[in-house]
Amino acid sequence: MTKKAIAVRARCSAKDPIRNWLVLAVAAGLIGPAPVLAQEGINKSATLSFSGTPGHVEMPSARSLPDATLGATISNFSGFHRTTLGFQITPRLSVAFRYSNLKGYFKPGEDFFDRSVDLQYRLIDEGTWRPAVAVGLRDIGGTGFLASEYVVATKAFGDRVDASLGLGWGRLGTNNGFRNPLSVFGDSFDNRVSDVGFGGNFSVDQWFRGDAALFAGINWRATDKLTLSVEYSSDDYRVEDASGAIDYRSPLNFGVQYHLNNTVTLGGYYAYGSAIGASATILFNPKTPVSGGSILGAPPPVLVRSADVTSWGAGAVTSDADALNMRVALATELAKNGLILEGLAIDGQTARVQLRNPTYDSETTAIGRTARIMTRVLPAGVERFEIVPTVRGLRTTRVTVLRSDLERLENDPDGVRLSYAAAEITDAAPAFSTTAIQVQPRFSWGIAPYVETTLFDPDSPLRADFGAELSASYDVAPGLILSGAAQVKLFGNRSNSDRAPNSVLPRVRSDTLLYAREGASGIDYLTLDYFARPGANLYSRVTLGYLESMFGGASAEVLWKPVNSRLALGVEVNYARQRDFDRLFGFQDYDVVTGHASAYYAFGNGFEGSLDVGRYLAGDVGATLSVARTFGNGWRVGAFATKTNISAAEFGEGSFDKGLTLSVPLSWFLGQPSQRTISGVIRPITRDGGARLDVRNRLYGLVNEYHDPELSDQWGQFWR
Amino acid sequence: MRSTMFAGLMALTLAACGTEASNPASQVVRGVVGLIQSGPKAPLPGPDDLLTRDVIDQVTVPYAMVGIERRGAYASMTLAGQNGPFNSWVTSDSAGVIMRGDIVTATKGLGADLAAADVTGIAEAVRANRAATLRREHRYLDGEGRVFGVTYDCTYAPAGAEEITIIGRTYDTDVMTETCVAGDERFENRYWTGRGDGIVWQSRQWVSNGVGPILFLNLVPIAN
Repeated sequence: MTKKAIAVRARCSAKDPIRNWLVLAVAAGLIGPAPVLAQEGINKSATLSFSGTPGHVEMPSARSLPDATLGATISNFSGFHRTTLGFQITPRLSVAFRYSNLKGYFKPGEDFFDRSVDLQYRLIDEGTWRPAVAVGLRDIGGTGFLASEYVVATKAFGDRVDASLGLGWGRLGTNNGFRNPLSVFGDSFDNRVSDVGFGGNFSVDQWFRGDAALFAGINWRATDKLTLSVEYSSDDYRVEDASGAIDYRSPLNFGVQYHLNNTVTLGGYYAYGSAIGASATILFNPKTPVSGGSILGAPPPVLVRSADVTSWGAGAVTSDADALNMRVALATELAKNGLILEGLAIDGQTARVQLRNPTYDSETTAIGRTARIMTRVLPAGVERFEIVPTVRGLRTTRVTVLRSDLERLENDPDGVRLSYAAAEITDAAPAFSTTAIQVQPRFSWGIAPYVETTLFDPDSPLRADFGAELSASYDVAPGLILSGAAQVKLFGNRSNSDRAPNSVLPRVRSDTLLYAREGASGIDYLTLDYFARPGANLYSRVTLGYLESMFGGASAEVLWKPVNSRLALGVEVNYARQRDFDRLFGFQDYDVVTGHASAYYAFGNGFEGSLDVGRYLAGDVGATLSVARTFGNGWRVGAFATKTNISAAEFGEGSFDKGLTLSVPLSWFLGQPSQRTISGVIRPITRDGGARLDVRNRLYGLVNEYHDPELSDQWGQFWR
Repeated sequence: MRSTMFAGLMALTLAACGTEASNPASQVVRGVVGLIQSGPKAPLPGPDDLLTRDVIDQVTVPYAMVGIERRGAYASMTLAGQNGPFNSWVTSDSAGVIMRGDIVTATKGLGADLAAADVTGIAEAVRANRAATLRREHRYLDGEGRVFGVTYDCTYAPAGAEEITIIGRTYDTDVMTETCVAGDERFENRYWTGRGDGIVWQSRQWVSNGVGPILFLNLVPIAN
């Protein structure tokens, strides 16, 4: 049902396989006992409930996890499974995504799998006498089976006791429910119409409606490792009780949690007077690398010029031979630091360097090291360094630093702030003179394992194929790149499903199963890309070939992004034709012209949003709204939703396309620089509406890391 | 569960091969990782295992040794660069220590490095061998690569005379302690200054919570 959800693609050196095992051993050792969340906060502030959100046993509390914490909880009681992924979006706002079985909801003894989303916002912080207060929505926009809302107040009593009292609606208003106190605002609050549909509808008009009920809970941190909970639940499980899925006898629930370490918690529960359950929770924070931070070798120190300015001379590059020697010397020193020189032009007191960074996950490290190496190689008369990093031949930015500033600030306690203030960051559109550029044709290849998963098939929520992917890339000329990847499936069970697609739209995504069966091994992509800078602040891409695993054709994109602008605008037009299921060279009949106008905005503190408006693969027209939080170390957690002009009924289950995106930099685990990331898209369900072409190398993602505000955010790494 | 999954993904990723990541920097880094990760099973070579006085006596350039106390790892260092009062020392596997006079202001390649420090007046206070109070400002990078600062209040106190031996040579030294406090954080540095020559032959200086203290052995002092 669901297409490729998590793809793992990465490469590394083949020359020394032992090294890989060594690094792996190091990484595994680090992952094991590492105190991922060293802050006391996690233990003191919130214990996660059975539902994987801060709370007691089943009832919520007003606590929040430390900012940016990611948590995963698996629980089971009396046959009710819940798998929850939670994220503390901001210090006050948290979200949780849950996959659960509604045991016996419709038919006794039959499971119904449901996906739901919770939000909680902490309105009031705890004071000396005042409790913390939070408001929450459970199962917003889902099928509505679990829909409930609550307001909860939580107060700590001493160091070890946390007590909550709350008012719930919906499912949380079923035990000893009473007339909705909000009815003072009108009788409409009295009635709640259970609206169970395709899912994906936000039944705002039902929120906080119908009967309300009180719930309460206490957590007692008996020891540093052990938390005991008791609660009075306001969910009476009447449907499940009627179907025999649970024998409801009492609203009192009891729980015990054992905190193995700051990362892992195990729990046991006795719920509703008859059921026992268990849970496991793992918490970690993108802000806190497992590895404790990446380790780089010592940078080349700034070579300070003699104090006698008259000895410096002018540019001092007088002949072509001089220029060539200098280029060779600079290329050699850069290569020692994992950087590739593409061009050097010296004009009087200004030296302009164009380079590529295949090594450091932080672009500012590459820029900072290049600047220091320039002090060691270039004649003393050169004062102004213009550094132009490229990505796939695109000159992304021009960072200008003065050599005297480097000499002055290398060891300054405020060197990071002062060097950023002294640097000029400008557009790098104008090309070097052709003689100064010597981009070597470059061939690279890799073999890497891959994982393709199919998630949330009710018959088997996790299916996966494992195999090997061979990829290769050849830079024909600056910006002109031929690249491809082929996959060979070794083993897996993605093709075992027998669920036929039931889409009424062109099957642009729902034929996953046919691709998994006939094209488990095949060509993932094979394209010729041309990247260019058509003008100031403009970037362009043209891609021809087999664009992605299901479509081939042509794609053209233009992006407008000034280096210091929070806003970027882009346009992309594609002609796409559906590929054969065997993922070889053939095409099917279906073709479409698809494309979008896009706006991207960086709100600051790592929060980004984008809006794409246009025509999707099935010919439907609409818009995609995406939000993401990017961390300085490369972690990215995001969500998106697409609504097009097809009805919820035409779309089918889920009503519209939405999902989560997750990107994890490998350096976060390894403790050494790496540009590799593990990324994935998790969709509750993949259908044909609102489906976008999955073309590689979209421009915004290539250049924004080299622009402000990302560059200023990363400047701490300049002196590394 | 999740860590197992990630470990699994990583295992897969690391089993990869190709041309893409073969670069000298990663080899350099590997050496440093090796230095840092060396397990406790076999004791690592100490200063006396790595060098003899005969070897040191033949060295004519500034020469030093650094030890990471918690890891029991030592390596010799040469001078990679000088910028005003700052000296950049580097080991053969590219770990680095930057010092202002005798005071560590930054470390490189040790993991939780000290990014920079304001140590104004401290070298002078140590040499004066008298009680004093000063302020020390450290800069670190957090898990997202952003700078944060910690300001320590430090007190300096003479701790008597001590005879120390560094790789076969004995020194009569005056010992100074530096006790620094910032909130719950607290560390103690020690400096062993040669009587008569005024050279700090040995010091034990705090780097960070992740690295702990390093031991700096001044084998061939910088002439000035």
